[in-house]
Amino acid sequence: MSIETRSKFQLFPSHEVNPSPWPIYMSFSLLSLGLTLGLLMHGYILSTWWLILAISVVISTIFLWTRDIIIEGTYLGGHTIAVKRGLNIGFLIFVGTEIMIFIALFWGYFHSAMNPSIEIGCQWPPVGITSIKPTELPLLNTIILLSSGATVTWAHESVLSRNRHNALLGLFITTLLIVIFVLCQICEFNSATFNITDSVYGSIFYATTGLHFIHMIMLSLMLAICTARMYVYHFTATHHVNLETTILYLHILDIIWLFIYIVFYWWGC
Amino acid sequence: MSQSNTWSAWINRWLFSTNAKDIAILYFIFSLFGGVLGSVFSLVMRLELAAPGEQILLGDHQLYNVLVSAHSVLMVFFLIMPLTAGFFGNYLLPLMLGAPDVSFARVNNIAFWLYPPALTLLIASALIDEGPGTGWTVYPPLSGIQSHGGASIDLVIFALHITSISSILSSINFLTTVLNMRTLGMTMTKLPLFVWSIIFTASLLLITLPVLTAGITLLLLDRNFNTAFYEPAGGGDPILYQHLYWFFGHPEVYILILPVFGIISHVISNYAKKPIFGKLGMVYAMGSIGFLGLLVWSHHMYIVGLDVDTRAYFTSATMVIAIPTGIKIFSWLATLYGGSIRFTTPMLYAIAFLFIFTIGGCSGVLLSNANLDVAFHDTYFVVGHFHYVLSLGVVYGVFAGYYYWSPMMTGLYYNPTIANIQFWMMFIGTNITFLPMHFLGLNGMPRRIPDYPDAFTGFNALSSLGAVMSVGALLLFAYVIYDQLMNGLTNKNLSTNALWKNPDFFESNDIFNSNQIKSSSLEFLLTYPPMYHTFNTLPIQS
Amino acid sequence: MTEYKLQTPGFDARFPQQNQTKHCYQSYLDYHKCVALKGSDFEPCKVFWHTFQSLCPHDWVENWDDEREKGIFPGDLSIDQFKDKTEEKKE
Repeated sequence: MSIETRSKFQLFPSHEVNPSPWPIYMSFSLLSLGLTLGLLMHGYILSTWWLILAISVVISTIFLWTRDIIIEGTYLGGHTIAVKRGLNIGFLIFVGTEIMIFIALFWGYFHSAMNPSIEIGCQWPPVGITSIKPTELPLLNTIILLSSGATVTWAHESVLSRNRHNALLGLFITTLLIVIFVLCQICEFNSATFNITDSVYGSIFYATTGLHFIHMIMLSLMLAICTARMYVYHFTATHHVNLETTILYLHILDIIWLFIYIVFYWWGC
Repeated sequence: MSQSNTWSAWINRWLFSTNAKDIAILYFIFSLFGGVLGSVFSLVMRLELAAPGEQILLGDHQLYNVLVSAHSVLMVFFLIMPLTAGFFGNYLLPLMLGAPDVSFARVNNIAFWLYPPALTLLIASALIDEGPGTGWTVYPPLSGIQSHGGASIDLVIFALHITSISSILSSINFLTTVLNMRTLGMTMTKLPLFVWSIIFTASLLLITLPVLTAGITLLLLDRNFNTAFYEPAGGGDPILYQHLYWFFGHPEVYILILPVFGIISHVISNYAKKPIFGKLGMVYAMGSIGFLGLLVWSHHMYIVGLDVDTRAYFTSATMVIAIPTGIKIFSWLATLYGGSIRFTTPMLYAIAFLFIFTIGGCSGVLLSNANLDVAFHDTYFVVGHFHYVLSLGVVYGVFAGYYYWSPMMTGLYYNPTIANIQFWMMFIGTNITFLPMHFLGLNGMPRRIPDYPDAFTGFNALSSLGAVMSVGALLLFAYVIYDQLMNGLTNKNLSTNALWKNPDFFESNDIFNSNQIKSSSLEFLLTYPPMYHTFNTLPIQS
Repeated sequence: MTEYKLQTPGFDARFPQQNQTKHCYQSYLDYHKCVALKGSDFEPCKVFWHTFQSLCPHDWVENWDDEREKGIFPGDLSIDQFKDKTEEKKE
């Protein structure tokens, strides 16, 4: 239903979505993911292909669901100013929960690091762990992320001032920087002398940087999608919720990275 | 053709739904399911404990532990949470705000549909390998790979992950709806108390659930990927798990009780025929309870070896919560004072709630003392305390809400006489069940054990008797629902239903002039049941 | 009748918790650093010995002694930083 038809009888700005199969698909594909993972880890299922199948169902459902959102927002005009505000508020709250999950991991870090137990000799990092130096690859990563914050601001400003060329360029550079960050992290994880099973230091280090790493992969996908949608004229100067949420996500992940850099690489090395 | 049309219409309406009211009904049906399972488990436990020695579990003590765990997780995550925030929240919040629906309708649907998979995982965890014998806290090292080698703990962790996702999504939805979709003139201070209670519940969920998720994910890694977060041999610390868990676990009990505070406020104000006493104070009291609830988690861990200063802080902070709670209790009493009180079924439940919750609150103040808790910790006194607050307090609030709003939601009326009998059975049964637990605890009976010395026989037998009575009350409740669904329209004309009226301090001009229906809040001004799309034109709050 | 003097380590403000593991461990480290620096006859080292003997479970101590012999003890037993100071004082 287009906005012209609906505005003839809908007297409120909210978007009433039609019944959709994706929520129930999504929840039951998560059931299959949980069951598969649980059974796989204990040898009830012997092939990893079931896990890959479950993950691909989850991802394809996300794809179909977001496709619907794009259709409603961009082509059918469902996203009025009020709806856009709602989406932004919702995403802001979601980002708050992301911050809380990182706070929990930092809590775990400080719990183990500020008062190291006697089993690791009351030292942090424990004996035998050669921690990664903050002045090497992590510093480069920090610089890359801070630059991506700058380029994405440039891209956003260009969108607002209706400069398509600069907006595309800015988004492309930002995507590239995040991809470079991800590659640098892969290098760092590969060349580190400890792994996730090497005492609580290795565990909490990889749990936190790893979670951030997964978020960065997600962010690079989101930025790539934004670039593509910019390229096919989905975004206008006044209507680009997807871009706004992606920018917010990028900044929050930057800030979390700064804390990770300060605490995990510098203070704890 | 018509057959296939009805079939697809049914699928569209109930499986692919994007309508908050339909999803609320689904939540209600689901939580009945979870509640029946949880109640049956508790009945089995009480029958095992009815006398010393092996009763019905044939000495399988792991099975008893699995029953304890399943009972707690089912009651908390699959009865109360879908019922308070899910059912009442989804149904009433948009109506009270004057919003056409919630903000993200599809997200609302997935928030519900994540519950059946989570329940499946939970039941699977009890059936596979040795079952999770850890209680709802899932503490390592008991939940570690050495103690629970099979897949059951992993499946519980996934079940908790999925309920967490669900609650986070619905909380985002509620908060956005309140912030963005209030109708014209509906300022934040004019929001009904139930909406405020949902705001605080949602905020608490959003702050604490990610921490739980992180905590249990680290446990999952410890179990399956050889990490050392909670493993002392690698420099980890099981106490960390307790911190992360209780940072969620303590606010969780406020998450359970806050919506009930909202429900009770509506019921009491309606049947005392007065506006709630000190409404803004009630809002601030709920806010303070929620905020303080985030700062007191370690009072569940007094005996893990915290230092004295820490225990002194957590004792004082916990006691401070008694103040906003007292504000709420006294405001409800002040609302009752001088009101024209009608003892309808929801009102009976609400008044019983005040009494029961005060008892539970007072035993909570005893438990908040670090020095007393050294003796009380892990005894039946604790079990008695939290069942007074949750199993009596929250459940009474939910019953009050059901009896108060269900005629509006369905357009069908229950039989007040049977409902009153159901109330008294419930009241007597649950009190007989849980009051003796305090005495058992004071005498030193530890919790989570399937057997006990002969000296504890008397109170245990009494408690089990009460449990059977309570289950009888639940069966009667099932009949009340049956009667409501089958004879709802005839019941409307019962003379005993004359008390089911609304107060006259808040109403629209049209209805005031025709003097038909009077209401304290928006939801009663609609048709019974409300239309599929409630507000085609937004209502205006003066 | 012989007079026995019963004594346990008193309160140490660095270790206010009920759990005295760290207190035991720190005393064990301090004793071995002290002995390495001053020799086993040095009287003040005895304080650390009494403390860890009283607080630590014996199998922990045996385990740590084993680990020290094998050279895999994870704790910090280096005394270099203290040596410098004592030498400076001598000068």
